Formats: sequence, C-alpha cells, structure tokens
Amino acid sequence: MHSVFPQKNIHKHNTDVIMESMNAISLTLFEKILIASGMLFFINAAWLASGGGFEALLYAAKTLYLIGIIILVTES
Amino acid sequence: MFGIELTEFLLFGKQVGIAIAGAAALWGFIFSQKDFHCGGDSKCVIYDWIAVRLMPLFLIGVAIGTASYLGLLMTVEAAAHQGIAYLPGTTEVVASFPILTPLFYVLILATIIALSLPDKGGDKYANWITYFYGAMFVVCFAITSFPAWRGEIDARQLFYAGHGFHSIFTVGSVIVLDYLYIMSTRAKILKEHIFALFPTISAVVWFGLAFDLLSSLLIIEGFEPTTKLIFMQTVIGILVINGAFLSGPLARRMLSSAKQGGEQVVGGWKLWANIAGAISIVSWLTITFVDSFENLTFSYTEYFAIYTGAILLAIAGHAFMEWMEERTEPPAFVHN
Repeated sequence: MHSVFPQKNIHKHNTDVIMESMNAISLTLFEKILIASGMLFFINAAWLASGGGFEALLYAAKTLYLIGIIILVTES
Repeated sequence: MFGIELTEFLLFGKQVGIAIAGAAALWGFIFSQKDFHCGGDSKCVIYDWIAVRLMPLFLIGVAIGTASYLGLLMTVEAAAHQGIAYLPGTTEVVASFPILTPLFYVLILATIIALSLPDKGGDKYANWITYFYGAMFVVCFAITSFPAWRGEIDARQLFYAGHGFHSIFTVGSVIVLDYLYIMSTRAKILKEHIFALFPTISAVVWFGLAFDLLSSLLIIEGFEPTTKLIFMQTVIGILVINGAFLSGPLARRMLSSAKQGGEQVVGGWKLWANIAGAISIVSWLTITFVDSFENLTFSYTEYFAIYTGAILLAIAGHAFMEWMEERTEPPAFVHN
C-alpha cells in the first residue's frame, strides 16, 4: 500500500530546513572571535570574584576584541 | 540613596541625552545624505522620510541632555568632591563648563530653528536637514568629548574624551537602531531601506566599543577589582556575545527577509531578535549608568537582579511598541 505522503520529499524538505537553519546560525570568523572575547570577559569576572589578578585576562579579552575589529575591517 | 549622588546622576543624564541626540544626528545625516546619490529615484522620498522621522529621537536626546546640564550648572560647586579613581572630579567637571555652555547654546538655537521652519514634509526641509544633522553631530561629538577638563591634554584627558564620545557610537547608535527597527514594522519597503544600513550601524557600534576599550588602556592603573567592576565585566561579556549573534545571524536573517521576494520572518526569529535587541539596549544603558556612579552600594546579586528585571521589562516594552507600530498607518508613499 502506498503512503499518501511523499516520504522522500518530506525527508528532503526537512533536511533543507535543518540545513537552512544551520546556515542561518553559522558565524563568521569575526563573530567567533567576538564570542571568545566575551567569554574571556566572563572568565575575568569570575577570576576577579575569586580573588584572582586583574590585568592579564582583561588585556587578553580586550586584545582579542581588537583583533576581531581588525578582522571585521578585512572581512568587509 | 544606593550611593547615587545628584551630580553623578546629572552627568549620566547629560551623557545619555547627548549620546542619543548625537547618534540621531549622525544616522539622520547618513540617511538624509543618501538622497544626493539617487537623483529622481523614488528611494529619495523614503530616505528623506526616515531622516525626518529621526527628529523626535534627536529632540528627546537634546531635552534630556540640556535639562541635565542646566541642573549641573545650578547645583555643582567646584572642589566639593574629589578623589575618584577614574571618574572626573567635580573641579574638572566645573572646568569644562566654559567649553560646554557655548556648545549647548549652538545646539539649542539650531534645534529651535529646525523646529520653527515651515513645511517639514517638503523637499527643501529634507535637503536642509542634511546640513543640520551634520552640524549637530559635530556639536554633540564635541560636548561628549569634554565631560571634564583637566587644563591640559594628557593621557587622562584623552581617556575622558574617548570614554565620552564613544557613547554616540555605542549606546546612542544602539537606541537609534532599535528605534529604526520598530519604525520599519510599518511597511516592508521601510524594512528594505532601513535593514540595509544595519550592518553599517552594527560595525559603528563595534568600533565605538573598541574606542572605549582603547581609551581605558590609558588609565589601566585606575581600576580596582570592586563588585561594580566585576558586574561590569559580566555585562560587557553578555553585551559582546549577544551583539555577535544580533549583528550576525539574526541581522542576516532580517536582511534576507526584507529583500524583494524574501521570506517573512517567522515567530521564533522575531522573538529572538526582540530578546537580543532588548539585551543590547539594557546592557549598554546599564554600563553607562553603573559607570557614572562611583559609590553604588549594590551587591553583585542585587546588580544582576535589577539588570535581569530591566531586560524583561525592555522585552515587554519592545514587543508592545512593535505591536503599536504595526497598527500605525504607513507613510503616504507606501502602496503595498
């Protein structure tokens, strides 16, 4: 008995939707660097809260951010 | 109350008000200036319409900034308060008044002229407003560059300048971006024209933050690992990560939907865009606010609870304004 639903097409359609979503949330190098920089700001905050030092992680977060800006210029 | 002093509050009001006015002038100038490149094309009408519609936001910024500055003039006494780690002392703030007062005169006078001109929907006004916005951006830039005056241009004075004018490109531009986003819900043709400039606005916001981070390197020894600073580092982290998604995948989705034949933005994407937009505005305002007060008495938990509450309020307010705007009559040139 044949199914009333075109299974192959549904599968293809679903795959397309998933692929489209995957593409939609894909990140550029600039955006990945920015997220890494943001994470370093978080780690710095946690490090500070636990009585750790200040300069090294903050410099690292800011440097990474500024590298991201340079990449933004070269990407565009 | 909560360690908030009147002088600091007025300085915050001046900073945010002029940042909004400066950003509205900057982006008003850019939209308005686009009509010089499109000849008799109908797009000119749309760009001019968008530029003129930025005027209410400019006026709100001028009103907040001017009222705060007047409050400062009336209440601040020189040498009443000193010894702040990296915020300007009152003596330095008072020393900036002779520079700021003439600039505020120019700002107020030009704004009155802009309001009193007839036929605000006409071509002449649309052309004139380009120069108005350009000049007002320069004035606002100068005002925000002098939150204080040390009497000489040294590293700290440069920090004050960078830490001041970046607000036009960051908090001000983020507010303009959201204002434009809400306004664009009136018609698809508006989305098409407004969304096209979103990547540029986002890039300017990123550059604005870079200016601030660079300027803070000039006074790195002035920082102390306080609760306030730990909270600010957390918010900067949230702001950067949220901004990467907002100006990246979310903005790309919005842009593709606004193009001719583009797919309508569905509920999920719209909700994420609203949440990310609200987080962005609240985070920038939080940083500007917390940064303006030296002796806030909140614990980390209290800071974070207020911040989260403000985000929830902003999401609700944003959704409501969007709902209102969708029901507003589109401009006359919209036929679809």
